[in-house]
Amino acid sequence: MTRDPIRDAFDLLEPVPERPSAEFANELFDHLLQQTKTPGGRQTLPRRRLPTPPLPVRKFLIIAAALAILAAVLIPLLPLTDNPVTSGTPSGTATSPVTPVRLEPAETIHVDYPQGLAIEGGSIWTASEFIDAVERIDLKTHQVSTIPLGGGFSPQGVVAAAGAVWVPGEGGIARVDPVTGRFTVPIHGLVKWLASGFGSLWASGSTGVIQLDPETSTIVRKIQRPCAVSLPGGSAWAVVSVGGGSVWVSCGQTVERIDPATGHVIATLAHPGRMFTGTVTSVVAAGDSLWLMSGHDPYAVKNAADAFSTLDRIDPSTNKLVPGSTIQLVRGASAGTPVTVGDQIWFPTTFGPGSDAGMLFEFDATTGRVVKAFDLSEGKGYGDNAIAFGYGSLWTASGPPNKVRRWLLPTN
Amino acid sequence: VERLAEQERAGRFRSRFEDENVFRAWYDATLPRVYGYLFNRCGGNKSLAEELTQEAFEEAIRAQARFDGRADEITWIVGIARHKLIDHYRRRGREERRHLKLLTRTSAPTEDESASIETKRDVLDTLAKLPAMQRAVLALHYLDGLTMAEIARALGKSEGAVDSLMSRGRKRFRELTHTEEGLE
Repeated sequence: MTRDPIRDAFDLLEPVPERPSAEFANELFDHLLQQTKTPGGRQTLPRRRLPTPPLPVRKFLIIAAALAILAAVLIPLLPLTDNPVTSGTPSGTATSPVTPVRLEPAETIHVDYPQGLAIEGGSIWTASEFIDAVERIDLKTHQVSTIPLGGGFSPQGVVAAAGAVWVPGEGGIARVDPVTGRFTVPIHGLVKWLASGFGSLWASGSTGVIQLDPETSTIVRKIQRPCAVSLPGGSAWAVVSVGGGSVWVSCGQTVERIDPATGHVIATLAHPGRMFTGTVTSVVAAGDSLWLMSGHDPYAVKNAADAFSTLDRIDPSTNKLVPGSTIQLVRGASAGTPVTVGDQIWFPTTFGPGSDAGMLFEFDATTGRVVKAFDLSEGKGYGDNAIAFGYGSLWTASGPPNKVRRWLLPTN
Repeated sequence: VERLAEQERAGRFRSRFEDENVFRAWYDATLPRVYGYLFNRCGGNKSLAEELTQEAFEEAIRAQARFDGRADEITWIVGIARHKLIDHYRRRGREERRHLKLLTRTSAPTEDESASIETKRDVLDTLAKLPAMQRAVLALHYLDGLTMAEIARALGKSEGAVDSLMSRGRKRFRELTHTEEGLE
Protein backbone atom coordinates (compact mmCIF):
# COMPACT_ATOMS: atom_id res chain seq x y z
CA MET A 1 0.00 0.00 0.00
CA THR A 2 1.37 3.41 -0.98
CA ARG A 3 2.24 5.60 1.95
CA ASP A 4 1.77 9.34 1.68
CA PRO A 5 4.41 11.04 3.85
CA ILE A 6 2.69 14.39 3.50
CA ARG A 7 -0.54 12.91 4.81
CA ASP A 8 1.50 11.50 7.72
CA ALA A 9 2.97 14.92 8.39
CA PHE A 10 -0.40 16.65 8.38
CA ASP A 11 -1.78 14.00 10.71
CA LEU A 12 0.59 15.39 13.33
CA LEU A 13 -1.42 18.59 13.40
CA GLU A 14 -4.88 17.47 14.38
CA PRO A 15 -4.67 15.70 17.74
CA VAL A 16 -4.01 18.78 19.89
CA PRO A 17 -5.53 21.99 18.47
CA GLU A 18 -3.71 25.16 19.38
CA ARG A 19 -5.48 27.34 21.94
CA PRO A 20 -5.64 31.13 21.74
CA SER A 21 -3.91 33.24 24.37
CA ALA A 22 -6.03 34.52 27.27
CA GLU A 23 -5.10 38.08 26.36
CA PHE A 24 -6.37 37.70 22.83
CA ALA A 25 -9.50 35.84 23.99
CA ASN A 26 -10.43 38.57 26.46
CA GLU A 27 -9.67 41.43 24.12
CA LEU A 28 -11.70 39.91 21.32
CA PHE A 29 -14.56 39.12 23.69
CA ASP A 30 -14.79 42.75 24.82
CA HIS A 31 -14.80 43.87 21.22
CA LEU A 32 -17.46 41.38 20.15
CA LEU A 33 -19.60 42.20 23.14
CA GLN A 34 -19.74 45.79 21.95
CA GLN A 35 -20.77 44.55 18.53
CA THR A 36 -23.63 42.52 19.95
CA LYS A 37 -24.86 45.71 21.62
CA THR A 38 -24.45 47.91 18.56
CA PRO A 39 -25.30 45.78 15.54
CA GLY A 40 -24.36 47.49 12.31
CA GLY A 41 -21.81 49.63 14.10
CA ARG A 42 -18.14 49.89 13.27
CA GLN A 43 -16.81 46.42 12.63
CA THR A 44 -13.09 46.83 12.78
CA LEU A 45 -11.10 46.19 15.90
CA PRO A 46 -8.28 48.71 16.16
CA ARG A 47 -4.83 47.29 15.64
CA ARG A 48 -3.94 45.19 18.65
CA ARG A 49 -1.38 46.66 20.96
CA LEU A 50 1.69 44.70 21.85
CA PRO A 51 1.64 43.44 25.40
CA THR A 52 3.40 45.73 27.87
CA PRO A 53 6.91 44.41 28.41
CA PRO A 54 8.20 43.72 31.92
CA LEU A 55 9.87 46.62 33.77
CA PRO A 56 13.56 45.80 32.95
CA VAL A 57 12.63 45.54 29.27
CA ARG A 58 10.72 48.82 29.47
CA LYS A 59 13.79 50.50 30.97
CA PHE A 60 15.92 49.11 28.17
CA LEU A 61 13.44 50.30 25.55
CA ILE A 62 13.35 53.78 27.04
CA ILE A 63 17.16 53.99 26.96
CA ALA A 64 17.21 52.60 23.39
CA ALA A 65 14.62 55.15 22.29
CA ALA A 66 16.61 57.97 23.86
CA LEU A 67 19.77 56.80 22.06
CA ALA A 68 17.87 56.58 18.76
CA ILE A 69 16.60 60.14 19.14
CA LEU A 70 20.12 61.32 20.04
CA ALA A 71 21.49 59.56 16.96
CA ALA A 72 18.81 61.14 14.78
CA VAL A 73 19.96 64.54 15.97
CA LEU A 74 23.71 63.94 15.71
CA ILE A 75 24.08 61.91 12.52
CA PRO A 76 23.02 64.69 10.11
CA LEU A 77 25.64 66.92 11.75
CA LEU A 78 28.52 64.58 10.91
CA PRO A 79 30.94 65.91 8.27
CA LEU A 80 30.55 64.42 4.80
CA THR A 81 33.40 62.36 3.35
CA ASP A 82 34.12 60.79 -0.02
CA ASN A 83 34.51 57.31 1.40
CA PRO A 84 32.12 54.89 -0.21
CA VAL A 85 29.68 53.11 2.04
CA THR A 86 30.84 49.56 2.53
CA SER A 87 28.28 48.18 4.91
CA GLY A 88 25.73 45.83 3.44
CA THR A 89 23.44 45.91 6.43
CA PRO A 90 20.49 48.24 6.76
CA SER A 91 22.08 50.22 9.52
CA GLY A 92 21.17 53.82 10.11
CA THR A 93 18.69 55.95 11.88
CA ALA A 94 15.62 54.17 13.10
CA THR A 95 12.43 54.67 11.12
CA SER A 96 11.14 57.61 13.06
CA PRO A 97 10.54 58.81 16.57
CA VAL A 98 7.31 60.29 15.21
CA THR A 99 4.18 58.83 16.70
CA PRO A 100 1.85 57.67 13.93
CA VAL A 101 -1.48 59.41 13.62
CA ARG A 102 -4.29 57.03 12.90
CA LEU A 103 -6.53 58.14 10.05
CA GLU A 104 -9.91 56.97 8.85
CA PRO A 105 -10.66 57.16 5.14
CA ALA A 106 -13.04 59.86 4.00
CA GLU A 107 -14.17 57.56 1.25
CA THR A 108 -13.58 54.01 0.06
CA ILE A 109 -14.13 52.84 -3.50
CA HIS A 110 -13.91 49.15 -4.28
CA VAL A 111 -11.74 48.42 -7.29
CA ASP A 112 -10.31 45.07 -8.33
CA TYR A 113 -6.72 44.93 -7.05
CA PRO A 114 -5.64 48.49 -7.91
CA GLN A 115 -1.96 49.01 -8.76
CA GLY A 116 -0.68 52.51 -9.28
CA LEU A 117 -2.63 55.75 -9.30
CA ALA A 118 -2.86 58.69 -11.66
CA ILE A 119 -5.20 61.67 -11.79
CA GLU A 120 -6.13 62.83 -15.27
CA GLY A 121 -9.19 64.27 -17.01
CA GLY A 122 -11.35 64.50 -13.89
CA SER A 123 -10.84 60.85 -13.02
CA ILE A 124 -8.68 58.63 -10.87
CA TRP A 125 -6.94 55.94 -12.87
CA THR A 126 -5.53 52.65 -11.70
CA ALA A 127 -4.74 49.26 -13.23
CA SER A 128 -5.20 45.63 -12.36
CA GLU A 129 -2.95 42.99 -13.85
CA PHE A 130 -5.32 40.29 -12.66
CA ILE A 131 -8.15 41.37 -14.91
CA ASP A 132 -5.88 42.87 -17.60
CA ALA A 133 -7.64 46.20 -17.39
CA VAL A 134 -7.39 49.88 -16.59
CA GLU A 135 -9.96 51.16 -14.15
CA ARG A 136 -11.35 54.68 -14.13
CA ILE A 137 -13.08 56.25 -11.16
CA ASP A 138 -15.16 59.26 -12.09
CA LEU A 139 -14.48 61.93 -9.47
CA LYS A 140 -18.02 63.34 -9.73
CA THR A 141 -20.08 60.19 -9.71
CA HIS A 142 -17.50 57.80 -8.20
CA GLN A 143 -18.59 55.30 -10.77
CA VAL A 144 -15.90 52.76 -11.62
CA SER A 145 -15.56 51.79 -15.25
CA THR A 146 -13.27 49.07 -16.52
CA ILE A 147 -11.33 49.30 -19.76
CA PRO A 148 -10.11 45.82 -20.77
CA LEU A 149 -6.70 45.87 -22.43
CA GLY A 150 -6.84 42.32 -23.69
CA GLY A 151 -5.73 39.05 -22.16
CA GLY A 152 -2.07 38.88 -21.27
CA PHE A 153 -1.44 42.63 -21.24
CA SER A 154 -0.87 42.40 -17.48
CA PRO A 155 -0.68 46.12 -16.66
CA GLN A 156 1.73 47.10 -13.91
CA GLY A 157 0.72 50.68 -13.15
CA VAL A 158 -0.45 53.99 -14.60
CA VAL A 159 1.33 57.24 -15.46
CA ALA A 160 -0.29 60.53 -16.53
CA ALA A 161 1.57 62.47 -19.22
CA ALA A 162 0.67 64.85 -22.04
CA GLY A 163 -3.05 64.68 -21.32
CA ALA A 164 -3.23 60.90 -21.52
CA VAL A 165 -2.95 57.88 -19.27
CA TRP A 166 -0.07 55.53 -20.04
CA VAL A 167 -0.07 51.93 -18.90
CA PRO A 168 3.06 49.74 -18.88
CA GLY A 169 2.56 46.00 -18.93
CA GLU A 170 3.77 42.72 -20.28
CA GLY A 171 1.97 43.51 -23.52
CA GLY A 172 3.74 46.84 -24.04
CA ILE A 173 2.62 50.40 -23.33
CA ALA A 174 -1.00 51.38 -23.75
CA ARG A 175 -2.13 54.98 -24.24
CA VAL A 176 -5.61 55.61 -22.89
CA ASP A 177 -7.61 58.68 -23.93
CA PRO A 178 -9.06 59.99 -20.66
CA VAL A 179 -12.11 61.47 -22.40
CA THR A 180 -13.23 58.57 -24.55
CA GLY A 181 -11.61 55.72 -22.65
CA ARG A 182 -10.29 54.34 -25.93
CA PHE A 183 -6.78 53.02 -26.01
CA THR A 184 -3.99 52.27 -28.42
CA VAL A 185 -0.82 50.24 -27.88
CA PRO A 186 2.03 52.19 -29.51
CA ILE A 187 4.74 50.01 -27.98
CA HIS A 188 4.61 46.23 -27.93
CA GLY A 189 6.71 43.93 -25.77
CA LEU A 190 7.48 43.56 -22.12
CA VAL A 191 7.60 46.88 -20.24
CA LYS A 192 7.94 46.80 -16.49
CA TRP A 193 8.56 50.35 -15.45
CA LEU A 194 7.48 53.68 -16.78
CA ALA A 195 8.34 57.18 -15.63
CA SER A 196 7.56 60.63 -16.96
CA GLY A 197 10.12 63.43 -17.10
CA PHE A 198 11.90 65.94 -19.35
CA GLY A 199 8.91 65.93 -21.70
CA SER A 200 9.32 62.22 -22.38
CA LEU A 201 8.25 58.86 -21.11
CA TRP A 202 11.02 56.51 -20.03
CA ALA A 203 10.28 52.80 -20.11
CA SER A 204 12.41 49.84 -19.16
CA GLY A 205 12.01 46.41 -20.67
CA SER A 206 14.02 43.32 -21.42
CA THR A 207 16.37 45.01 -23.89
CA GLY A 208 16.97 48.33 -22.25
CA VAL A 209 15.33 51.70 -21.87
CA ILE A 210 13.06 53.41 -24.37
CA GLN A 211 12.52 57.16 -24.55
CA LEU A 212 9.04 57.88 -25.88
CA ASP A 213 7.50 61.14 -27.07
CA PRO A 214 4.06 61.23 -25.41
CA GLU A 215 2.74 63.78 -27.89
CA THR A 216 3.34 61.58 -30.93
CA SER A 217 3.53 58.16 -29.25
CA THR A 218 6.76 57.51 -31.10
CA ILE A 219 10.13 56.25 -29.93
CA VAL A 220 12.75 59.01 -29.62
CA ARG A 221 15.65 56.84 -28.57
CA LYS A 222 16.51 53.32 -27.52
CA ILE A 223 19.16 52.96 -24.86
CA GLN A 224 20.34 49.40 -25.31
CA ARG A 225 21.55 47.56 -22.24
CA PRO A 226 22.32 50.50 -19.98
CA CYS A 227 23.37 48.15 -17.21
CA ALA A 228 26.96 46.98 -17.09
CA VAL A 229 25.78 43.62 -15.74
CA SER A 230 23.80 41.39 -18.04
CA LEU A 231 20.19 40.66 -17.32
CA PRO A 232 18.94 37.12 -16.86
CA GLY A 233 17.36 35.91 -20.10
CA GLY A 234 14.04 37.49 -20.86
CA SER A 235 13.77 39.42 -17.63
CA ALA A 236 13.27 43.12 -17.20
CA TRP A 237 14.13 44.35 -13.82
CA ALA A 238 15.75 47.71 -14.35
CA VAL A 239 13.75 50.40 -12.62
CA VAL A 240 13.54 53.80 -14.22
CA SER A 241 13.06 56.89 -12.15
CA VAL A 242 13.50 60.54 -12.99
CA GLY A 243 14.96 63.27 -10.83
CA GLY A 244 17.85 65.65 -10.29
CA GLY A 245 18.18 66.34 -14.01
CA SER A 246 18.80 62.68 -14.82
CA VAL A 247 17.15 59.39 -15.58
CA TRP A 248 18.13 56.60 -13.21
CA VAL A 249 18.16 52.91 -13.99
CA SER A 250 18.52 50.27 -11.29
CA CYS A 251 20.82 47.44 -12.37
CA GLY A 252 21.06 45.21 -9.34
CA GLN A 253 24.18 46.23 -7.48
CA THR A 254 24.52 49.54 -9.27
CA VAL A 255 22.31 52.39 -10.37
CA GLU A 256 23.16 54.00 -13.69
CA ARG A 257 22.74 57.75 -14.16
CA ILE A 258 21.68 58.71 -17.67
CA ASP A 259 21.78 62.10 -19.34
CA PRO A 260 18.26 62.60 -20.76
CA ALA A 261 19.60 64.80 -23.59
CA THR A 262 22.04 62.24 -24.97
CA GLY A 263 20.90 58.93 -23.52
CA HIS A 264 24.46 58.25 -22.36
CA VAL A 265 25.35 56.74 -19.02
CA ILE A 266 27.22 59.50 -17.21
CA ALA A 267 27.82 57.85 -13.86
CA THR A 268 27.44 54.60 -11.98
CA LEU A 269 26.27 54.69 -8.42
CA ALA A 270 27.59 51.78 -6.38
CA HIS A 271 26.69 50.57 -2.96
CA PRO A 272 29.04 47.65 -2.25
CA GLY A 273 27.43 44.83 -0.40
CA ARG A 274 23.89 46.05 -0.92
CA MET A 275 21.72 44.57 -3.61
CA PHE A 276 19.37 47.01 -5.22
CA THR A 277 17.04 44.28 -6.34
CA GLY A 278 14.35 42.73 -4.26
CA THR A 279 12.29 45.84 -3.89
CA VAL A 280 11.29 48.89 -5.85
CA THR A 281 14.61 50.67 -5.98
CA SER A 282 14.46 54.18 -7.22
CA VAL A 283 16.05 57.57 -7.00
CA VAL A 284 13.77 60.22 -5.58
CA ALA A 285 14.41 63.92 -6.01
CA ALA A 286 12.93 66.57 -3.74
CA GLY A 287 14.01 70.17 -3.67
CA ASP A 288 17.78 70.18 -4.15
CA SER A 289 18.40 66.74 -2.73
CA LEU A 290 18.51 63.28 -4.20
CA TRP A 291 17.77 60.09 -2.31
CA LEU A 292 18.19 56.45 -3.20
CA MET A 293 15.50 54.11 -1.94
CA SER A 294 16.54 50.48 -1.71
CA GLY A 295 16.10 47.41 0.42
CA HIS A 296 14.48 44.02 0.41
CA ASP A 297 10.89 43.11 -0.11
CA PRO A 298 9.21 40.68 2.33
CA TYR A 299 9.12 38.11 -0.47
CA ALA A 300 12.83 38.42 -1.19
CA VAL A 301 14.05 37.49 2.25
CA LYS A 302 13.80 34.24 4.13
CA ASN A 303 12.09 35.88 7.08
CA ALA A 304 9.56 38.53 6.08
CA ALA A 305 10.20 40.39 9.34
CA ASP A 306 13.71 41.12 8.03
CA ALA A 307 12.38 43.08 5.05
CA PHE A 308 13.41 46.71 5.00
CA SER A 309 13.61 49.85 2.93
CA THR A 310 16.24 52.49 3.42
CA LEU A 311 17.00 55.91 2.06
CA ASP A 312 20.52 57.11 1.32
CA ARG A 313 21.35 60.67 0.35
CA ILE A 314 23.15 60.93 -2.98
CA ASP A 315 25.85 63.51 -3.48
CA PRO A 316 25.09 64.56 -7.09
CA SER A 317 28.55 66.06 -7.58
CA THR A 318 30.40 62.83 -6.80
CA ASN A 319 27.64 60.34 -7.58
CA LYS A 320 28.29 58.61 -4.30
CA LEU A 321 26.07 57.89 -1.36
CA VAL A 322 26.72 60.21 1.54
CA PRO A 323 28.17 58.20 4.44
CA GLY A 324 26.05 58.30 7.55
CA SER A 325 22.97 59.47 5.70
CA THR A 326 21.15 56.13 5.75
CA ILE A 327 17.62 56.34 7.04
CA GLN A 328 15.89 53.10 7.82
CA LEU A 329 12.46 53.93 6.54
CA VAL A 330 10.52 50.69 6.79
CA ARG A 331 11.05 47.49 8.73
CA GLY A 332 9.12 44.26 8.25
CA ALA A 333 7.07 45.64 5.39
CA SER A 334 7.34 46.59 1.77
CA ALA A 335 7.55 50.18 0.52
CA GLY A 336 5.18 51.47 -2.13
CA THR A 337 5.88 54.09 -4.78
CA PRO A 338 6.91 57.47 -3.31
CA VAL A 339 5.52 60.83 -4.38
CA THR A 340 7.34 64.16 -4.07
CA VAL A 341 5.61 67.41 -3.14
CA GLY A 342 8.10 70.29 -2.86
CA ASP A 343 10.76 69.31 -0.33
CA GLN A 344 8.65 66.50 1.08
CA ILE A 345 8.66 62.89 -0.04
CA TRP A 346 5.64 60.77 0.83
CA PHE A 347 6.20 57.04 1.20
CA PRO A 348 3.35 54.56 1.52
CA THR A 349 4.06 51.08 2.84
CA THR A 350 2.26 47.94 1.79
CA PHE A 351 1.93 44.99 4.05
CA GLY A 352 4.22 42.73 6.03
CA PRO A 353 4.57 41.37 9.54
CA GLY A 354 6.16 44.57 10.90
CA SER A 355 4.39 47.48 12.55
CA ASP A 356 5.45 49.68 9.61
CA ALA A 357 2.95 47.94 7.35
CA GLY A 358 0.04 50.09 6.24
CA MET A 359 1.72 53.40 7.03
CA LEU A 360 2.34 56.64 5.19
CA PHE A 361 5.52 58.51 6.02
CA GLU A 362 6.21 62.15 5.24
CA PHE A 363 9.94 62.56 4.80
CA ASP A 364 11.60 65.97 4.81
CA ALA A 365 14.27 65.67 2.13
CA THR A 366 16.11 68.75 3.34
CA THR A 367 16.71 67.58 6.89
CA GLY A 368 16.64 63.87 6.09
CA ARG A 369 14.04 63.05 8.70
CA VAL A 370 10.63 61.51 8.85
CA VAL A 371 8.43 64.33 10.12
CA LYS A 372 4.99 62.71 10.09
CA ALA A 373 3.62 59.20 10.10
CA PHE A 374 0.05 58.18 9.41
CA ASP A 375 -1.50 54.79 10.06
CA LEU A 376 -3.76 54.04 7.09
CA SER A 377 -4.15 50.35 7.82
CA GLU A 378 -7.72 50.43 9.16
CA GLY A 379 -6.53 47.96 11.75
CA LYS A 380 -5.76 45.23 9.24
CA GLY A 381 -2.20 46.06 8.37
CA TYR A 382 -2.90 46.27 4.65
CA GLY A 383 -1.18 49.25 3.15
CA ASP A 384 -1.06 51.04 -0.13
CA ASN A 385 1.14 50.46 -3.15
CA ALA A 386 0.58 53.92 -4.62
CA ILE A 387 -0.57 57.38 -3.61
CA ALA A 388 -1.56 60.57 -5.42
CA PHE A 389 -2.55 64.04 -4.32
CA GLY A 390 -5.43 65.74 -6.06
CA TYR A 391 -8.72 67.54 -5.60
CA GLY A 392 -7.81 68.52 -2.04
CA SER A 393 -7.28 64.96 -0.92
CA LEU A 394 -4.79 62.15 -0.66
CA TRP A 395 -5.73 59.13 -2.73
CA THR A 396 -4.32 55.68 -2.12
CA ALA A 397 -4.48 52.34 -3.92
CA SER A 398 -4.35 49.17 -1.90
CA GLY A 399 -4.22 45.85 -3.73
CA PRO A 400 -5.01 43.12 -1.21
CA PRO A 401 -8.25 44.65 0.11
CA ASN A 402 -9.24 45.89 -3.38
CA LYS A 403 -9.63 49.52 -2.38
CA VAL A 404 -8.96 53.01 -3.62
CA ARG A 405 -9.37 55.33 -0.67
CA ARG A 406 -9.57 59.09 -0.20
CA TRP A 407 -8.07 60.69 2.88
CA LEU A 408 -8.10 64.15 4.36
CA LEU A 409 -4.77 64.82 5.99
CA PRO A 410 -4.69 66.94 9.15
CA THR A 411 -3.58 70.47 8.34
CA ASN A 412 -1.40 71.00 11.43
CA VAL B 1 -40.33 17.84 13.19
CA GLU B 2 -36.92 18.33 11.69
CA ARG B 3 -37.84 21.82 10.53
CA LEU B 4 -39.05 22.73 14.00
CA ALA B 5 -35.79 21.48 15.46
CA GLU B 6 -33.88 23.63 13.02
CA GLN B 7 -35.94 26.67 13.93
CA GLU B 8 -35.33 25.99 17.57
CA ARG B 9 -31.57 25.73 16.99
CA ALA B 10 -31.62 28.97 15.04
CA GLY B 11 -33.56 30.72 17.78
CA ARG B 12 -31.19 29.38 20.42
CA PHE B 13 -28.23 30.61 18.43
CA ARG B 14 -29.61 34.15 18.17
CA SER B 15 -30.34 34.18 21.89
CA ARG B 16 -26.60 33.70 22.50
CA PHE B 17 -26.09 37.38 21.77
CA GLU B 18 -28.77 38.78 24.04
CA ASP B 19 -27.16 38.18 27.40
CA GLU B 20 -23.51 38.77 28.29
CA ASN B 21 -23.14 35.64 30.42
CA VAL B 22 -24.73 33.44 27.81
CA PHE B 23 -22.60 35.04 25.12
CA ARG B 24 -19.46 34.50 27.21
CA ALA B 25 -20.23 30.83 27.72
CA TRP B 26 -20.88 30.33 24.00
CA TYR B 27 -17.77 32.32 23.10
CA ASP B 28 -15.54 30.37 25.49
CA ALA B 29 -16.73 27.11 23.99
CA THR B 30 -16.49 28.25 20.39
CA LEU B 31 -13.29 30.31 20.32
CA PRO B 32 -10.82 27.40 20.72
CA ARG B 33 -12.51 25.51 17.91
CA VAL B 34 -12.35 28.42 15.51
CA TYR B 35 -8.84 29.51 16.48
CA GLY B 36 -7.57 25.92 16.50
CA TYR B 37 -8.99 25.41 13.01
CA LEU B 38 -7.30 28.53 11.69
CA PHE B 39 -3.96 28.21 13.49
CA ASN B 40 -2.86 25.06 11.68
CA ARG B 41 -4.10 26.29 8.34
CA CYS B 42 -2.22 29.56 8.77
CA GLY B 43 1.07 27.68 9.04
CA GLY B 44 1.20 28.40 12.77
CA ASN B 45 1.11 32.17 12.24
CA LYS B 46 -0.41 33.35 15.53
CA SER B 47 -1.19 36.92 14.55
CA LEU B 48 -2.82 35.85 11.30
CA ALA B 49 -4.88 33.21 13.09
CA GLU B 50 -6.02 35.87 15.56
CA GLU B 51 -6.92 38.31 12.80
CA LEU B 52 -8.97 35.74 10.89
CA THR B 53 -10.60 34.51 14.10
CA GLN B 54 -11.70 38.05 14.81
CA GLU B 55 -13.08 38.42 11.29
CA ALA B 56 -14.96 35.12 11.56
CA PHE B 57 -16.64 36.07 14.85
CA GLU B 58 -17.49 39.54 13.57
CA GLU B 59 -19.09 37.98 10.52
CA ALA B 60 -20.99 35.47 12.66
CA ILE B 61 -22.49 38.26 14.74
CA ARG B 62 -23.25 40.35 11.70
CA ALA B 63 -24.85 37.43 9.85
CA GLN B 64 -26.57 35.73 12.79
CA ALA B 65 -29.95 36.06 11.09
CA ARG B 66 -28.65 33.85 8.27
CA PHE B 67 -28.08 30.90 10.60
CA ASP B 68 -31.01 28.62 9.86
CA GLY B 69 -30.24 25.77 12.25
CA ARG B 70 -29.59 23.20 9.54
CA ALA B 71 -25.95 22.90 10.57
CA ASP B 72 -24.34 22.76 13.94
CA GLU B 73 -23.36 26.21 15.26
CA ILE B 74 -19.69 25.30 15.43
CA THR B 75 -19.76 23.88 11.91
CA TRP B 76 -21.39 27.09 10.71
CA ILE B 77 -18.86 29.46 12.24
CA VAL B 78 -15.93 27.26 11.24
CA GLY B 79 -17.36 27.47 7.73
CA ILE B 80 -17.18 31.26 8.01
CA ALA B 81 -13.60 30.94 9.24
CA ARG B 82 -12.76 28.83 6.22
CA HIS B 83 -14.14 31.54 3.92
CA LYS B 84 -12.01 34.12 5.70
CA LEU B 85 -8.99 31.85 5.32
CA ILE B 86 -9.60 31.35 1.62
CA ASP B 87 -10.07 35.10 1.13
CA HIS B 88 -6.76 35.64 2.86
CA TYR B 89 -4.95 33.10 0.68
CA ARG B 90 -6.42 34.58 -2.47
CA ARG B 91 -5.27 38.07 -1.47
CA ARG B 92 -1.89 36.79 -0.41
CA GLY B 93 -1.50 34.69 -3.52
CA ARG B 94 -2.19 37.71 -5.70
CA GLU B 95 0.29 39.82 -3.80
CA GLU B 96 2.96 37.12 -4.02
CA ARG B 97 2.35 36.64 -7.72
CA ARG B 98 2.67 40.34 -8.30
CA HIS B 99 5.88 40.66 -6.34
CA LEU B 100 7.44 37.54 -7.75
CA LYS B 101 6.77 38.81 -11.24
CA LEU B 102 8.51 42.06 -10.45
CA LEU B 103 11.48 40.53 -8.74
CA THR B 104 14.50 38.81 -10.01
CA ARG B 105 15.95 36.89 -7.17
CA THR B 106 19.58 37.67 -7.58
CA SER B 107 20.25 37.63 -3.87
CA ALA B 108 22.64 35.07 -2.48
CA PRO B 109 21.28 31.53 -2.43
CA THR B 110 19.78 30.59 0.88
CA GLU B 111 21.28 27.87 2.96
CA ASP B 112 19.79 24.41 2.96
CA GLU B 113 16.36 24.92 4.44
CA SER B 114 15.40 21.28 4.53
CA ALA B 115 14.86 19.52 7.82
CA SER B 116 13.39 16.30 9.01
CA ILE B 117 9.79 16.46 10.11
CA GLU B 118 9.04 15.06 13.51
CA THR B 119 6.79 17.43 15.37
CA LYS B 120 3.71 19.53 14.81
CA ARG B 121 5.91 22.65 14.79
CA ASP B 122 8.00 21.15 11.95
CA VAL B 123 4.87 20.71 9.88
CA LEU B 124 3.69 24.26 10.56
CA ASP B 125 7.12 25.72 9.79
CA THR B 126 7.29 23.80 6.53
CA LEU B 127 3.78 24.86 5.60
CA ALA B 128 4.64 28.49 6.30
CA LYS B 129 7.53 28.32 3.80
CA LEU B 130 5.26 27.43 0.90
CA PRO B 131 3.75 30.08 -1.39
CA ALA B 132 0.27 31.09 -0.27
CA MET B 133 -1.76 29.24 -2.87
CA GLN B 134 0.20 26.01 -2.51
CA ARG B 135 -0.29 26.29 1.25
CA ALA B 136 -4.00 26.84 0.75
CA VAL B 137 -4.41 23.81 -1.49
CA LEU B 138 -2.46 21.49 0.81
CA ALA B 139 -4.31 22.71 3.91
CA LEU B 140 -7.76 22.48 2.32
CA HIS B 141 -7.02 19.00 0.99
CA TYR B 142 -5.15 17.39 3.86
CA LEU B 143 -6.79 19.16 6.78
CA ASP B 144 -10.29 19.89 5.51
CA GLY B 145 -10.58 16.89 3.23
CA LEU B 146 -11.81 18.90 0.25
CA THR B 147 -11.62 17.39 -3.21
CA MET B 148 -9.75 19.10 -6.03
CA ALA B 149 -13.09 20.26 -7.49
CA GLU B 150 -14.19 21.73 -4.17
CA ILE B 151 -10.88 23.51 -3.71
CA ALA B 152 -11.07 24.88 -7.25
CA ARG B 153 -14.53 26.31 -6.57
CA ALA B 154 -13.41 27.80 -3.24
CA LEU B 155 -10.33 29.45 -4.69
CA GLY B 156 -11.95 30.51 -7.95
CA LYS B 157 -9.50 28.48 -10.03
CA SER B 158 -9.75 25.70 -12.58
CA GLU B 159 -9.26 22.12 -11.44
CA GLY B 160 -6.18 21.94 -13.63
CA ALA B 161 -4.67 24.93 -11.85
CA VAL B 162 -5.43 23.37 -8.47
CA ASP B 163 -3.88 20.06 -9.57
CA SER B 164 -0.77 21.95 -10.58
CA LEU B 165 -0.66 23.83 -7.27
CA MET B 166 -1.09 20.56 -5.38
CA SER B 167 1.68 18.91 -7.36
CA ARG B 168 4.09 21.82 -6.84
CA GLY B 169 3.11 22.16 -3.19
CA ARG B 170 3.73 18.47 -2.51
CA LYS B 171 7.05 18.60 -4.34
CA ARG B 172 8.21 21.64 -2.39
CA PHE B 173 6.98 20.14 0.87
CA ARG B 174 9.01 16.99 0.19
CA GLU B 175 12.07 19.03 -0.75
CA LEU B 176 11.83 20.96 2.48
CA THR B 177 11.41 17.87 4.60
CA HIS B 178 13.46 15.26 2.76
CA THR B 179 10.41 13.03 2.77
CA GLU B 180 10.02 10.48 0.02
CA GLU B 181 7.08 8.54 -1.28
CA GLY B 182 7.30 5.02 0.07
CA LEU B 183 5.61 1.72 0.64
CA GLU B 184 4.56 0.27 3.89
